[in-house]
Amino acid sequence: MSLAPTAAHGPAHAAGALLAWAEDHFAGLAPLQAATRRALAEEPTRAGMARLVAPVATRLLADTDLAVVGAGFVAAPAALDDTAYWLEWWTADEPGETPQRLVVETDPAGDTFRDWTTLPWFAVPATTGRRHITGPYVDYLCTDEYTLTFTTPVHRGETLAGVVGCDVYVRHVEQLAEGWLDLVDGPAAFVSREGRVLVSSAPGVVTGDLLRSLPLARLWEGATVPGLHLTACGDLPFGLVVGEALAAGLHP
Amino acid sequence: MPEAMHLSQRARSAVFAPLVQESRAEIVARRLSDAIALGLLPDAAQLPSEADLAARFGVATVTVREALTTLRHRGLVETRRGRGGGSFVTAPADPAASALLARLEEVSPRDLRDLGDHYAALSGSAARLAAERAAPDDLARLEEAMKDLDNATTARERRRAEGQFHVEVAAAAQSPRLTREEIRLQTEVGPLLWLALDDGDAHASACTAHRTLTRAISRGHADRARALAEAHVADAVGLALSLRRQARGRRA
Repeated sequence: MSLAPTAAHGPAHAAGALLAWAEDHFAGLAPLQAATRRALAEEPTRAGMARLVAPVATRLLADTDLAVVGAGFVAAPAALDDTAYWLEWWTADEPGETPQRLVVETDPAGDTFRDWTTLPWFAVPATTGRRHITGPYVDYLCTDEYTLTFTTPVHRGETLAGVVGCDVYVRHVEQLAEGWLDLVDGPAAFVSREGRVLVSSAPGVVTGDLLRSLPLARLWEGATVPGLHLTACGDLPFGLVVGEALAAGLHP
Repeated sequence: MPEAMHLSQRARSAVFAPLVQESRAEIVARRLSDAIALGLLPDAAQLPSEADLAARFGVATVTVREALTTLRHRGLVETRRGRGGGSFVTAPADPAASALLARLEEVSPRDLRDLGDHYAALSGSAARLAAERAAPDDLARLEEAMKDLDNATTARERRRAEGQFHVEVAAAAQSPRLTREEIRLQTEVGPLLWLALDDGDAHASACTAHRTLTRAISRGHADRARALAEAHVADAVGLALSLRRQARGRRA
């Protein structure tokens, strides 16, 4: 039996929908984590990664429901025996298309080397030990597109060995999330903790905008703010912000 | 039926102008020699196989072979047969100076100014949008890129850091299109525009320009950010033009 969403339930449904969608993607990373742990235990080398992790990454890319365009394992420095830096990462231009191995400079002395360990999709799981969603952001290292990256840490004993993850194009999430926002009365937007808009139904507010003058800290604390209400999406770094004062968040 | 746009005769002719002035082999050779000059393909780096290069560039293998022959004649690449064979970059530690100066002399001042106009338009727009949309994470990456330029000592390191800073500005603008265009233009324009960074004074003023631009972006001063970015490119064009004058003067 389905109930028409009321004003009170709409935001909870919408927030729940984003959470469920994200959980599906983190669940999709579980086989990748298992394969990586196995490779680290049995054959912690580039060859081991290719033999044991690559097939699981390409399988994840083939799952068109998840619409993943990048997947794999990014090693922490010195996690593997035969190289300081390594990625076992595969990409597809569009979900379901032929996967290709990502080739980037892994020699720190190389001219095009970019130390990815400082980028949020690696650094946050590395320092917090918890899963993370990075973005929306321009992923100039890999997809060259506006991207959401799901990552979760992998450990070898007590030490961080790296992260496994997957990429989704933001344009794909926008289309899904517009449907979830239809459940909500009034101007609404999914917003990252920093105020970056993931998708919005408010006129004049678009994906990628920064709602710099929203009182985000207070909203996340649960304070009452006139004209605005925030519903958390589980433990995700996103919230659903609803209210007439939403569009004003764009202006200083 | 939409009204026909009133195009000047010249604009109309431009639509049907020949697609390329150079043969595809020359374009491939130019792309690879620029990358070698920029240090993106360092000395002793192995190029992908002819078949790989052909696939990546979207040209016939015979075109790749012709391009590699050109590069061998210019002394930029050597090809070894047999086991461990392939094409390898042969470039001294900093090949840029002479090769790039030669290329700079070949470009007309008008073309250099036009490249600068295009690049300034791109950089200016990216900077304006970055001022509107940059979040703390984006600013942190700008700061990192700034530091890299500060610490860069060789001409090649400086060009790389300058390029990376521009990429970070476009990424901070949350625009995949501007980021891709930035990377594309850098490959074309970068070697010429940043040749002058070899000079200590030019390097110091580039560092200052980055600092003031980052400050404008972090404060959300969109118009000022655009003006600063455009001025930075205009300065680089000015320096390239005077370098060119000097180089031609020395030859005369």
